[in-house]
Parts: sequence; C-alpha cells; structure tokens
Amino acid sequence: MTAQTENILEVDNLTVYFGEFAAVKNASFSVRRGETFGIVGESGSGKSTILKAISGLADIAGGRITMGGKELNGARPKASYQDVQLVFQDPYSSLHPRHTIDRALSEPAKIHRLSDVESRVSGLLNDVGLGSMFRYRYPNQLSGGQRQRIAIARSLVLEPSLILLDEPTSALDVSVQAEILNLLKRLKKTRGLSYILVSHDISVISHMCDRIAVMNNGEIVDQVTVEQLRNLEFSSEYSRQLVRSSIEYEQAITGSRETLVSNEYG
Amino acid sequence: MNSPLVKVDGLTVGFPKKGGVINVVRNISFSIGREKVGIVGESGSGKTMTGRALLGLIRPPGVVTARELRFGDIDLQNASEKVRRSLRGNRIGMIMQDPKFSLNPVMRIGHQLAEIYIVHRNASRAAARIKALEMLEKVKIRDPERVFDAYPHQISGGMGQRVMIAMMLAPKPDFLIADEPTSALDMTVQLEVLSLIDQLVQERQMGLMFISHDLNQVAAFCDRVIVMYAGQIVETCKATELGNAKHSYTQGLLAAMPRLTKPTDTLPTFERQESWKMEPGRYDCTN
Repeated sequence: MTAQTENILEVDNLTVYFGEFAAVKNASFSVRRGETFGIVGESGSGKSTILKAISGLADIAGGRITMGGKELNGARPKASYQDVQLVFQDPYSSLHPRHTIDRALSEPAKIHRLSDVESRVSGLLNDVGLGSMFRYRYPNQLSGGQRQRIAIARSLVLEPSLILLDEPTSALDVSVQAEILNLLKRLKKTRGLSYILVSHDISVISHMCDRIAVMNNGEIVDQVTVEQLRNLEFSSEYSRQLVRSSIEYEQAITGSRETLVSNEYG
Repeated sequence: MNSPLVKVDGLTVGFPKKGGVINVVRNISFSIGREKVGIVGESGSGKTMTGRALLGLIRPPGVVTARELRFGDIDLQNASEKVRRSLRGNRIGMIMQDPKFSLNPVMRIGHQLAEIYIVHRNASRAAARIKALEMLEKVKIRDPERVFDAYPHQISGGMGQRVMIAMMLAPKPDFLIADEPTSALDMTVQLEVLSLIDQLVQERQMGLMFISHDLNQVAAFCDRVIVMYAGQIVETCKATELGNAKHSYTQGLLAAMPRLTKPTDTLPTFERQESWKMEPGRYDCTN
C-alpha cells in the first residue's frame, strides 16, 4: 500500500496550538525510509509536540503531515495507527502498574485483531533481550531499563514502519542507556525501521541520528546532517551555542579541560 | 591541606527490610575541605543517602552508624537535635534536585527568602525584604522585584533553582551539599547555574559536596571526584584525571557514554561484577 517514495513521512508547515499558545510554528521536515531523524531542543521548544501531532495525540492547527502518500489529520482510520508507534520517556509511568507484561504486549494485537498473539509476544520479548520468563511479571518487578525494553517491545507489536522515540533514555543511567541505544540500533537494522528521536541530549542524538533538526521556541531553526552537527556547521547562533556547550563538557573528561564554566558566563 | 570541614569515617546507612537490614551505604570514609568534591554513581549507589546522612536527614527506620562523622569540630553523631538543627541551613546548606518540589507552592518566593533572615538572623521584616532582594540580584535574577512577589509556579525551572541557591546561601553556610542541582534543567541553563554555584563557592571559600550522575559535568566542574557503586566508594581521583580512571566500573561508565567527538557504531556495555560490591576503594589517585 505504500507508494515507493523515498520519504516515509513528510511534515509540511506544521502548526500546533495549545489554546492561544503556538507550541509548534510552521515546522517542515521529512524523514527518509530507514533513517533516524533527530529533533533536539530545550524544554518547551515544541519537540515532543511534533511527535504528538504525528501520532494523533495533538490537533494539527495548520499544515499537513503525510505518511506513505496519505495525509494524517484529525479523523484517522484504525489501521493508520498501526504504522506509527510511540515510545515515551518515563518507563515508570508508561506501563499500566496492574497489567502483566503479557497483557501490555498483547493488547495492541488484540485491538487490531492480529493473529498468533502468543508467538508475537514471546518472539518480541526475545527480540528485546528479556526472554519469556518476564511474560507474567508486573512492571514493579522490573528495573527501569527492563521496563523501557518492554515499552519498545510494545511499540513493535503492530509491526510499524516508523517509531517515534520521545527521550527514550533520559530516565536511565548511562550504562543502561548504552544497552537501550544498542538495542534500538539493532532493531532498526533487523526490522528495517525508521525512527524519529527526540532528545535534549546532543551526544545521544549524534550517536543515533543521520539528520537532525534543532528547535527553539516552536520553530525549527536548523536542519543538518550529523557530520554538520559535529563540525558546528549551523546557520543559527542558537544551535552553535547549544552543541558547543555539549562538546565542551566532553572535552572536560577527555583531557583538555578548559574553564568552561567561568569563561562564557563569568 | 588545612583540617577538613567534613570528616566521614566508616559511614553506614541501613534500612530494615523483610529478613534483615539492607545497607544502602556501606562503610565509606572520606573527607572534604574547602574544595569542590563530586560524588558520582548510578541510581541506587547511595550518593544521595550519603549527603542526607551528613545533614541528619535519614528518617527512622533508617539507621546511620559511623566510627566518625564530623563537621568542623562538631561530632555529628553525638550532637543533640538542637545543635544539628542549628547547623542545617546555617552552616551546612543543601540544594535539592528539583526546585518545584523544594519550594513552598503556596508562598510567595520573596517571603520564603525573607523568612531565612527572620529565622536565622533575627532580622526585621523590612530588613529581611531588602536582604532577600539583594540575594535575588546576587544569583543574577534580572527582575528581583517581580520574582519576589511571584509564586513558584510562575517562574521557570532555571530561575527556581537560582532562588534555591539564593535561599541556601543566604545564611552564609561554610559547606554546601548540592544534590543533582541541575538535572532538571536544560543544558544552557545548567551551565549558568553551575557557574553561579562555582562563583559563590569561590567567593566565600566554601566546601562543596556535589552529587551527580553525570560524569561529564563532575569532571568539568569539581576538583576531586568520588565514584560510588552499590553503597561503597570504588574510586577517588582528581577531576582532571577522571578520564584515566583505574576501576573497571568507572571505565565502563566512561565508555558507555555516547560522544559527539568520537562516533562509534555500538556503545560498549558491561556486566556488573560481583567483586565490585566486595572490594571497595582500592583506587585513590588524589595524591
């Protein structure tokens, strides 16, 4: 059913309002099949709102979102939700505390009336590196990293082509973050997925993404490749500042420590 | 080095659980002078509990034991609650992670700040107000009059954390415990808040215990770093030497961080070794 376009998703002049407040203003970008597209920005810049608009959780006030040649707008057929799934930031609040893992994973399959729910669930648990012994546990019996693996497994139940990742590792320790990022990379390769990754952590973004949009105050101020990001090739001063501060942090640990704190803001 | 501000010897913090006591901090020893010491570790490593134990903020049924727990010349273990209370805020300040949860939501910012001068310094209301406004200016809040009359929900996270810093520093403590003071803030705001803490700590020659999970931040900001794992100290080193850490846990943490400047395809992960829990603190590279 997909027209063989290179782009899996196109966002054209998207505007989202919350009451009077324009959370996203005229944002345009496209995501190519098989790539990871990153969105960085500070809190309140509108990056999560874009994901909400794509997944149908926020109303689109202006512009269009097209996926596989079809426009996604207010009223969507059930099947359109099958193609794009969302993974949230906080693994502690995104799983129902009184539902077993089995129930959390089979629910989407049941809603969409898919067959062989059994084998899907056990296959997915293996795929995210947990194994079937986790199947009848409750979320409170799992660590944060394990929960995030479940949330990722749940997003895969319907075999979507695009997964929206909203700060998927911000609540996790660095060692667990590394495991989850590796898992996401592996799943993308084996299942031919495309991702949109939203994060405030520029190192994570640069590790995962092919192309990146920088947002500030609801607007996309820069769109660059990961190489351009590393080389600070931006058109806006805002993006350059944002990325430079991350690089300076890293240099502190990798040796050439400079008095970053005092020289810029002293 | 002159005599340390804080001396901790054999500190253990335990909580009774079904079938025994779980020690979340296990027999750790360190001292901090008038310097910036970072305490890093993953969640559950005991770093926050270490800070709270110093302030006497571990609530029952939690149990704190130590061979020595000293602040300046005061023996914290045998100090009365009255003495301990006179230390808190007055001589040891604490900045917590999220200003949203640390400020009173139904009290104007200015009144919360002025209260400090009224309580700790016996100032009059009018004098306290002037002092509070001065303090807001000191933490680089551009419009102190407006913030003074605002409620906590009316200001941003970064501004809230500045207010917290103002509050903690108002009684002029000698020692500051900052528990993840910037984790709830954006990167650029983090830098501003850090530089502010840095400047005030320098200016007043204070000691700082800086609790964080962020190795980059600690390396950039502190003089010395203590690495904790499972309630114990596994390594102590100069912040500038953190990149050359000796312990396999610290090395694992460093390697697991994605880097802008060093792209790789997969990040190295590590298995937690049982031995890390058993043999603490073999590496002390501060000397």
